[in-house]
Amino acid sequence: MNRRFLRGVLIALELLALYVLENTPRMFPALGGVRPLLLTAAAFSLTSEQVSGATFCGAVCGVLTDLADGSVGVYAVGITVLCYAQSTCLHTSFRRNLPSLWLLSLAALALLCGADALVRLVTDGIWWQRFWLRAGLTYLCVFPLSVLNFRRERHEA
Amino acid sequence: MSRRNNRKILLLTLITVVLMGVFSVGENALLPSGWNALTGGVFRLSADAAAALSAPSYGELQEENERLRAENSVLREQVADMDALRDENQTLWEYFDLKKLEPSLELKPAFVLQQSALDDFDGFALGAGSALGVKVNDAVVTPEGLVGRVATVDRVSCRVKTLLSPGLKVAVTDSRTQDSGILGGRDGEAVMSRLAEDHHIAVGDLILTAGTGGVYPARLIVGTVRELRTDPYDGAQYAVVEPAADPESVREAAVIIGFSAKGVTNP
Repeated sequence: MNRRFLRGVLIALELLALYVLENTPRMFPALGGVRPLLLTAAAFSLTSEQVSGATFCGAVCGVLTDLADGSVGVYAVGITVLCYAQSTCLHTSFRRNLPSLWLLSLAALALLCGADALVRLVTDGIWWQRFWLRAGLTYLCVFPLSVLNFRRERHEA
Repeated sequence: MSRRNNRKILLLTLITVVLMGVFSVGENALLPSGWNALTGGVFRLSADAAAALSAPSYGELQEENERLRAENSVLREQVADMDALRDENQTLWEYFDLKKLEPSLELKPAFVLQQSALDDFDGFALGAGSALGVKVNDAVVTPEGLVGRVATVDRVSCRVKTLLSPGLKVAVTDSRTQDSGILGGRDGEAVMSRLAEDHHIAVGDLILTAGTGGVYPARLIVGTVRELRTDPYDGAQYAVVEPAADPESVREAAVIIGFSAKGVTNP
């Protein structure tokens, strides 16, 4: 129980730090004016947790990502569903290892970006150059974060 | 935990998320107001820390100083040729003393608290909300000129759409030729379109707000013409405008919450 609580606290601190890092102006280096969605990458990297935990983390990350942009919407719902699906796949159909997580994260991110692009096309408009760059950078961030989160889970289990 | 339980958790989480979505829509929405009031202090601290970390070193400052001196001598020659309006405007902007020019102007200066990584067009959140009288569609300026417009507002903060955003349209005019047009974002550039066929706009011209829509005060500096292009589809010419205020590097800005002609439209 204590270990589970400690893990929860560590994950909460990690997400809080990433939230501040993601949204503070000029704190995280931008490439071509674009910064990665660190919370989205963190949500997918945490899908090796139990399905319920991964779903909850996905919801928190999605809500925080959306709140930073104004109101809760596509990312909150999208990441919640995708984290549930990814975590279920990792616990049933796939081997629960890092390559599986990276592969599933790629598919999940592609679906999320697709939904985001559709919404942007009918609302604010889209700047494709930055859109793809941000998607790429976000996926790159999945690697270190998944190594960090996966290791921690194995160590604490 | 069984698959059935997991589905229940997913359903409950989704219902919670949708409810949060409902409470986050609209002006002064409960969720963003509460959340931004809670995290505003954290972002103020982190923004200050980021500013301190990105402060240039002595060597960089010296290098920049030399570059600026060289630029300064060139600019002095150019300034002498510029119209009196820009000279007066620039000085006034520098000191946020616009009231001398337009006594009815009400400004609310605020720091940039957040810059969402989701915004492709460098939008940002300012630490001034409806509690200070900020409303949706208020113009946002920096000492350099117009930077954008308030898109959403809660009690303690507001989100600003920049001139690069395709959703933002501003009636503008060329200060030299008085040619008018509509400025809006297109592929990450600020573009002045709907120009008259016989316009006389040239590269380097200063672009100002026209003030005809009742949203923006007249004669705010918007930017300078960087390039003239022709639309390949309809053959119409448009001007690419370099915004005077770089939205990516804005640290503080002011919301114009009132001016005499606000809401008054001139055809």
